[in-house]
Amino acid sequence: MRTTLFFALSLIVACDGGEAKDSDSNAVDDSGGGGTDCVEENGACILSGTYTEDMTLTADKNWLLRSRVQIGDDTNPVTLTIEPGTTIYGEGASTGMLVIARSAKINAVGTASAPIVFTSDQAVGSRARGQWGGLVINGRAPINACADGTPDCEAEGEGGMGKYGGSDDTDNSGTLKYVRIEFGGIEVSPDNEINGLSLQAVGSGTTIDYIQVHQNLDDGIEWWGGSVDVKHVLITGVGDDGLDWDFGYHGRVQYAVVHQAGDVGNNALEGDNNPDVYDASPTSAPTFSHLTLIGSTTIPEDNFGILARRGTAGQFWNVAAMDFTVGCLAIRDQETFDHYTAGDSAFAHARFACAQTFEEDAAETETVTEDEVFADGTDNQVVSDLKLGSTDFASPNYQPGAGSPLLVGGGTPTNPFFDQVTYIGAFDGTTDWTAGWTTHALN
Amino acid sequence: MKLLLCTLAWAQETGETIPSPTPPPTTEPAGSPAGAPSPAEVPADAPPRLLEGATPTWPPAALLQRVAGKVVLQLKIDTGGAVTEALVVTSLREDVDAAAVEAAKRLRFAPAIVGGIPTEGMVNYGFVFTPPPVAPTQGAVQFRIVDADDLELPGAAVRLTGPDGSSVLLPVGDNGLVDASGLDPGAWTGVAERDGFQPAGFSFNVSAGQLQEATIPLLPNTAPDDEVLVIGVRQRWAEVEAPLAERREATVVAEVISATQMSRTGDSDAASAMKRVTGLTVVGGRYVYVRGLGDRYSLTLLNGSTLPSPEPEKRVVPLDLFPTALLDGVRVEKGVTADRPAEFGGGIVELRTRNLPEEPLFQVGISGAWTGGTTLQKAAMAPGGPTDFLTYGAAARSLPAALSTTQEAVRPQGIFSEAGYSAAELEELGEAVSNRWDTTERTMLPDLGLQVVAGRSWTLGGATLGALGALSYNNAWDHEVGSRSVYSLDGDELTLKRETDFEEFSNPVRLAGVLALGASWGEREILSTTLFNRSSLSSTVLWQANDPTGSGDSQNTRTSWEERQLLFQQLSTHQLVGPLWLDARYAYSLATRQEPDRREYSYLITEEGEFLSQKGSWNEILYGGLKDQNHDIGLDLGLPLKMPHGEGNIKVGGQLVMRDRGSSSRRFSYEFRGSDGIDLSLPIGQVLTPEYIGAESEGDTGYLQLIEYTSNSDDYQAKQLMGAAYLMSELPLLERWKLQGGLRMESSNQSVRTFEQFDTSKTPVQAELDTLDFLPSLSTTFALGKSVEAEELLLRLGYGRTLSRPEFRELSEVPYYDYRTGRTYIGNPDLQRALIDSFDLRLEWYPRPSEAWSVGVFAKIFQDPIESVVEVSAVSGSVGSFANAKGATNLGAEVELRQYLDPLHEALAGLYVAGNASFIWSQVDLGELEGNQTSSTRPLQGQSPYVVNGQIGYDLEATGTGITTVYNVFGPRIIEVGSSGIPDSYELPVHRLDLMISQELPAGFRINLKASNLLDWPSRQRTGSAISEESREGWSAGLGLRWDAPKKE
Repeated sequence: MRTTLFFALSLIVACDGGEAKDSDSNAVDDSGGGGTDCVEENGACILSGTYTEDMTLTADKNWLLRSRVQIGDDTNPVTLTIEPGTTIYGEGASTGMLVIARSAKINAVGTASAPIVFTSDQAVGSRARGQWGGLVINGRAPINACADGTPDCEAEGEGGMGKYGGSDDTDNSGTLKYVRIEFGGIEVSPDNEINGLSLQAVGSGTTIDYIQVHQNLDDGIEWWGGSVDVKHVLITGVGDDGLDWDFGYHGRVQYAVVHQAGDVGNNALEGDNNPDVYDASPTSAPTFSHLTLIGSTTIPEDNFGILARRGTAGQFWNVAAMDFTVGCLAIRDQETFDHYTAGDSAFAHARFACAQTFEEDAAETETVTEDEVFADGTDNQVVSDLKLGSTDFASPNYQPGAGSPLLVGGGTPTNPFFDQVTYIGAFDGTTDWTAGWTTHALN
Repeated sequence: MKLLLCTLAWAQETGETIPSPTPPPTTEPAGSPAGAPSPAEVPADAPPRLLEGATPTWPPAALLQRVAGKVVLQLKIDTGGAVTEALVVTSLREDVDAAAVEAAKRLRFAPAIVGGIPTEGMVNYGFVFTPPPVAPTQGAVQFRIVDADDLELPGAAVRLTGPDGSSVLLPVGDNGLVDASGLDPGAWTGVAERDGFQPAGFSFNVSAGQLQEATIPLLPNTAPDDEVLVIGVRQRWAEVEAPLAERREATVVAEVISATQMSRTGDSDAASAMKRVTGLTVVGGRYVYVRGLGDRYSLTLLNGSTLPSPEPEKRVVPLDLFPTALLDGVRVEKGVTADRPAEFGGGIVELRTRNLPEEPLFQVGISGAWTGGTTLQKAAMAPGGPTDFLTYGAAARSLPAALSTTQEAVRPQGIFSEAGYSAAELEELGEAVSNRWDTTERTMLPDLGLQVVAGRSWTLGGATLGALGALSYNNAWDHEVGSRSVYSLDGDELTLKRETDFEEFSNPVRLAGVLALGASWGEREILSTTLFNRSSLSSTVLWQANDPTGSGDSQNTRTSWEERQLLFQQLSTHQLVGPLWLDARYAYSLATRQEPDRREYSYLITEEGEFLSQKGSWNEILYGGLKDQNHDIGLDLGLPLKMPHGEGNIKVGGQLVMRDRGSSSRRFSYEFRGSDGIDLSLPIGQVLTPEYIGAESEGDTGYLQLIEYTSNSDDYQAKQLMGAAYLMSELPLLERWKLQGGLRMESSNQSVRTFEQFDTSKTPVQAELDTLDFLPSLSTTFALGKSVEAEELLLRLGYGRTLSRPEFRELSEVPYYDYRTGRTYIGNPDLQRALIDSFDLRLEWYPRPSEAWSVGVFAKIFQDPIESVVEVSAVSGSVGSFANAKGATNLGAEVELRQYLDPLHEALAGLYVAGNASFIWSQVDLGELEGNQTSSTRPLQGQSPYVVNGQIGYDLEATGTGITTVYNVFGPRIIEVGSSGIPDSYELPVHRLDLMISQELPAGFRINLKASNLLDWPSRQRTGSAISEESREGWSAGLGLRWDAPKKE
């Protein structure tokens, strides 16, 4: 079945600055009620411990996350508001990180010119991956970690990241807009580094738009179940996977770039259902559209553009991928392939430019292959070159250049979440939605 | 009688020499009257005149004891010439006298003639007993019967049973000695008995022409007749039978294994020896599971005192720390008595150190072993230190001074923080850590064992002093190759998620010593026992993780050094205070564990080759330390009670245990701050060099930085204070029915405090548990057989309530990472102690002192058992926790036998079979705790449905040869509880066969040949229908030589 192509006006949301809500000046409430006074130390306001009343972080101060800072106590509605232009530093010495507990909300709405930045507390020039924690949001949407169908399955995050999971698919954990998370991903428990943005059972009531994770040691964004939709994502130079999902994530993502640095990185996309029980329900079934995935052949690690495995379903529309060492696409496990046969999963309008398009695995036992999945989809093509502006890590230009196979030929899922556009990859050739609020600094 | 003698003027002495009767007394001995008067023809008055002689039958005892001498009888002879009366005039020995009297009745005389008329008359007649020369095929033994203080005991008797099944009772002389000679070669058994003492069984082998000596100590009855000297006596176990006797005398179901048995099976440490005990399994070579209950349900005592543990998250004492050379025996009590600590579920394992010697003792031994696939192969080991071979290796691996003195975590200083280190300081610290990354090849030498034991005792005035020291040293190499698989569920099918091929090289070294000093005078005894045990384990694990569904394969290396030490000092005294006896003991013990400089790193396997992983935690340096100390004071007071059917007693006592544990660790890793310009395919030792540690300039995008990852839960302190008091009584209600009951009160306060090493301002997280329990116990023993004889049939019935408290960290809600299991655990502050009601019924039969048969059943009902549960976690693997399950039930049956085969056929003398088997049904009802676990009901973790041990032995005493073959197997047991629908993982049965041959050599030498693990059965784990782990350790063959200083006297 061929998808009808819609030509529609591209909405340039990047210019929509009016939405940034000017916060009242109740920046960290001095009354001591529930927020905290600015406990100043060497020019920063120290945040530490658990906050159980609403609070606001203002752009006029430097905020320092000391150790694990938690908003909410898992039961009471508490809102953390962050003003546009605010910088929040994660203290490296104490493994600073921010956790939004269930029932709590984060309201971090920056603008293209005044993004909200979570970053390392090291001096510019000495920054590197893994210097602080990351941002963790816990919600009450369903997860399939219980595998046995326990209703309202709950799970315990490692490294004291709190409980997540529940039954509210439309749970609202707040809004993240024009937010940058960089140089984080420190280890929080042995063998377990933290992702830039951890979305644990976050529900579809949550809004996430214009988000960059840069130089994180672990994954860029990881979804554990949940249903939150995300738009305008830039993942640059993360140490592990760009976008990672498991335990039943079934939200939607439009416009995402994963750009690997030359030194380290695993897969641009990596998805599982339940990693132990491949048919656990609800099934991981995200829909991605308009992705630009840029690998690096110099990384001393095998990497894929997309690795779908362990029973995940998924729709992949308009994916442009290039330069992954061992394959633009790898699909593993019979349960994963079954979703393609059954029509739950599909590729459409893919443009792959890798030296080796599909994973070559002599030991594969599945009854279907990547080639078949790719061929059975809609308008999927292997191309020799995506012809992007520049894939230089420090100063990229992700726009498809003249003659790029990405400028036309795309299609869009018919869900109202998706902007109906006709190009392939995350850019239309002219409008750069990453302009202004993102970074490509190496350190 | 004298009068009579005098009045009979013509009384003459006549007699007969009794020469060599051959042992089957049915054969009439040849004999001729010697010096018989020549019969006078007629008329004159004449005394009775012998017509027909008779030969007395040698009493077997007298024959064995080679009694020699003359019995003179005064005979009354009637007018018909018959002997109507025989009175002993000169006695030799009761049994010989009786034989003489019996023979005299068979004499025929011509009657005395007085005045030509046959008249009733009297005559003295003597029988001369001369034992036959001992046949060269026979042997002799001199027994010395002594009391606990090694003083000879008169008035005892020894019953010996020969290879032909006939038995003889030998009285013991006033000097406590009894000789037995002319013994037919073969296996003999015996039992020594005396009023007021417990019968002591023993066995020995007679070999031709040999004279042996044996000392048989007798223990007073638990309720002795007049004097009270009960607890003050420590057991001496020289032979197999003594443990059986001890078991027989125990008031509860107990198993005893002696040093002799341990040396017979060739086990070098207590853990491996425990495999031979009914119902016991050993897990991980360290922990004993009694009746299949996990290590949490075992309690280890050393000479009656509690011990601390060097294990990181456990209180269980690892038994591999104790070399058998230091031990006199191990007693496993499965029943409950009020005078023992109640914190156990399966049983109490009591280790006993060697006793003070009765005679000067000096023994040295050396042994070596060759292991197939290991010895002389190459091992990849991290560089060590010069004293590693003595177990002292921590100094060579200690944290560099620059790091050990840091007051805060080694992390970069932030722009707003005072905490942390500058880039330059981090570079300096990073370069201070020694570059011990790369392994070098070392040859794995044959195993070596050395042991020295020396001791003696002195008499000083009225006191006896004794001293014994033992030292033992073992240095071995292990090499294991195997693979491990992790599965996930692809639909209904298990599919391989990750496969790991591993190779492990390890070098366990053990150094241990014991020093016992004792003094006894009058009815007092004071004993000091010092035990010093060290063990080190240097190991390297290489594993290649093949990750078919994951993101890549990797080649990993871990090198580690573990050093454990246990220091134990006990003072104990046993004495009489008026009518009471008093037993007091105090022990201080300190267990430590150090794991300095454990390193781990990983290379990613790519299509381009292998490259060092850049994720921080993929290279790791860990320093761990633990200290656990224990004070244990115990006091028992007993009052004997006179009862119509024997002695009973009432006993009261108390115990106070103070436990103090601290654990600390630090963890570091080198982090890549970019890897530009670094060749990651180089060996790690060439990457982690000063060249790459630290940035060359600002903006450097290729360097390494040392970062500390010590977590906030790596440090904790825990305490326990346990106080107990008890009252118990043992009452012989009927002649063959003993009843014992008691009540124990135990109160405990335990707490654990988790704190941050570098941030003392943070309030530590404290968790506490107070318990107060009253724990009843009741047991009864019926003697169904003849209790005086060695043959005994006993029926035991027992009930007891015990408890199980949470381990320290199980109570704390602070998540902690267990470096050994690689899993994060979150404790549960709501945990309660579990109660266990145990019921035992057992029938025991002791056909001969060295033989036993038993069959028993038991039930254990658990209330609120503490089970580990799996919390749902969507990060790496599952998070473990602990909770009280609703309940659990264990039902079991045990059978055991130890039997010599000579009753079947004479030719089988010296051959014995021994074996035991346990069958256990176990079920935990997790109720609502099931969580993410696959099974809601399952056997307890580690519970085997069956455990079987078998032994066939042959003792050829004639040539000094002993052969023992040992077999054992355990049934499949859960090694890991499955979650998320993945089935539970079972450890599959491992059949093991060991062979020991021991040969006596001249001049006190003895040589041992040991062949272990002859079947080399693979150790396997099964998940569902798939094998998830398989490895082999290889067979080994060893040779040992021992020399015992010849005994003086």
